[in-house]
Amino acid sequence: MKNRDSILGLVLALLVGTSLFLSGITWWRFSDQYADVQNEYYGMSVVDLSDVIAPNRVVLHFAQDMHSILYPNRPFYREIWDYARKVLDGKELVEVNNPELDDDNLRQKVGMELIFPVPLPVDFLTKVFNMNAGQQAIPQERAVISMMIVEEDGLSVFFKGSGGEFYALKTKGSSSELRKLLEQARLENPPAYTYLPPAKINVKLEEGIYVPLTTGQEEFPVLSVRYEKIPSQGTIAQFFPDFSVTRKIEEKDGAVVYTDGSRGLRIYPNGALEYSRPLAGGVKVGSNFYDALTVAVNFINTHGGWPKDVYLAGYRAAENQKSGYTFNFGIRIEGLPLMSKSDCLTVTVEENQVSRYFRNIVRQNKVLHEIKPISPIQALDAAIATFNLKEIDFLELSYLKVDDELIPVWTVVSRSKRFFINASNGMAVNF
Amino acid sequence: MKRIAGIAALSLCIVIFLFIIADAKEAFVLNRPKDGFETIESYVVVSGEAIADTSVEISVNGEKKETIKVGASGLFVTQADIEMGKNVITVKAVFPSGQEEIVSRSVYRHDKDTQIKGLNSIIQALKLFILQ
Repeated sequence: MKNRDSILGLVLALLVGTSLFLSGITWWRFSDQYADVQNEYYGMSVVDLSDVIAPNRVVLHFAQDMHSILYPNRPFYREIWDYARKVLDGKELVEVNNPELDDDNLRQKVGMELIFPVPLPVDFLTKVFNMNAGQQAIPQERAVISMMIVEEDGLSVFFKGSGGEFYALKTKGSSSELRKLLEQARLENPPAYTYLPPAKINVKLEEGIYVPLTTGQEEFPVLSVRYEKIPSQGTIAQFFPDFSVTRKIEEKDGAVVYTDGSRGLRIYPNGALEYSRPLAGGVKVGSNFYDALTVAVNFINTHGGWPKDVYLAGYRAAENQKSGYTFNFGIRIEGLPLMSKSDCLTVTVEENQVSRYFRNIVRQNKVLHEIKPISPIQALDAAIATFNLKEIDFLELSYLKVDDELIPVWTVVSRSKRFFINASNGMAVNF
Repeated sequence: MKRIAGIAALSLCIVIFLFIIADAKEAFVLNRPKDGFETIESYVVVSGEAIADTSVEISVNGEKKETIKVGASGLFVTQADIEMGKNVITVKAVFPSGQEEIVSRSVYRHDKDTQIKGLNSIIQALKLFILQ
C-alpha cells in the first residue's frame, strides 16, 4: 500500500513538473515573439521627423588627420545626434560669405561632420531643429548635405550646402561638451580612418573618401532575410473610410485587391502592399516639404506601423510644381543603407493627402557569418577593372539583398549608375 | 611657304612634347603627409595617387619600409612608423614604363606632453607678465 502511494506520488510529481515545463516553454516563446514585434515597430506614437533624416554616418575629426566613422547603430551615434540637435535648438542660421572657408580646412579641426542621407531644404531643417527663422532669408531651393560642428574660437556650427556654400549659426557657444563627447568616443577605440581627397590621375573621383587604416577595421554580418507578414484585417480596414462597402478580389498571381470604388489596395503574396487613392481634382492646394513629409510619415505610422531603422532616402517634387512630393524611404541594416531592386517604402503626397503608398519591408533575420570588408580602395580597384569606369560619383559601404541573403557590399555610383562589389571578396555582384 | 609649314610643324611638336611632360608630372601625387607635418602619434599616414600598376616604395629616414603595387583606381594609402623628432619620408614611384619619381617630406613627432608643457610655459609667462 505504502509502495503504491509512493508510485502515485512520483507520477503526480512528474506530471506537475512536465506541466510547469511545458507552460514555461509556451510563455518563453510567446514573450520572445512579442519582444520581436516590439523591436520592429515604434508602435503608434508620433514619429520625430528629425529621426527620419538622422545622418547616414558621423565622421569624427580628432585633428592631425585622424578621423573615425560612426554608423547609426554604433556606440555614441545617438549621443552625438542628440547633442547636434541640442546645439541647433533656438539658434539663428545665416549664410557665410567667407571665400576662405572650405570643408578641407574644417576637416583638420577638432570636430565632427554629420552627413544627411539626402540633401535637405534649408527651411525644412530650420523647422525640424526648432531654429530661429531669423532676419536673413535663405532661398528655399538651397539644399544642405551635411552639418559640421568644429572647435574654432569656441564652437562653430555649419551647414554645408550641395553647391559648396556654407551657412553658420549666428552665435558661438562653448566647445567643452564637444571635446568631452569626442574624448569619450576616442576612449572606445573606434576604427581610425584617413581622408583621401578627390582624385584625377587614373579615375575622376568627384568626392574625397575616408579610408580605414589597417588596424581595427569593423566587421559586418551576412544575414538571412525576413519579410513583413501579410497585413491583418484591422490594418487593411484603416485604408478605407467604410470598410463594409469594400469588395475583395483575388487575382491569379495570388494578390488580393480591396476596393471601395475609388480607393484601391493590392496585397501581394509576399506581404508587400500598394495603395492608391485618386484626388478630388479642382483647385490644387500646395504643400511644402515639411508638411508633405509630416503627412507621409504619419500615414506610414498609422498604416502598418513605423518600421525601425527607416530613413528618408530620396524625394522628388511633383511635376506640376509644389503641389506634392514623392518620398522614398530606405532601411538601414546594421547601420548601413540597404540597396534593392525595388523601392521598400514610397509615399506620394498631393494636396496634403496620400495618393499612393507602396510598402515592401525586408528585415534582417539571423546572422549567417561575419566578414571584414575590403578597403574602399580595393573596392574601387575592382569596380574600375571590372566595369571599366572612368568617373566615380560616389562610394559607400551598404547592404544588398541577393536571393534570401543580405550581404555587405561597396556601392559604387558612376554617371548615376550603381555597381556593386562584394565587400568580403571584391567580386562584382550581378544585380 | 615651306619655311612657314616647317615652323608650324615644329611648334606642333613642341606643344605635344610639353603636353607629354605636363601629363607625366601628373602621373604621381603624394597627398599625405604634408611637408612639415607635426604629430604626437607613432606613425604617419602616407597616401596619394599614381597611374595604375605603379610600384610605390616608402622609406623612413632612408630605411625602406614598404612597397605597394597601385591598382586600377591609382589610389594608395598606408601607415609608416616614425621616430621622435624629425623624420624624412621618401616615396619613390616606379611607373610601368620604368621611369621613376621621388618625393620627400619632413615630418616631426613630438612627445605627448609637449603640448601641455608648451601651454604651461605660456601660462607661466602670462603670470609673470601680470605680476610685473
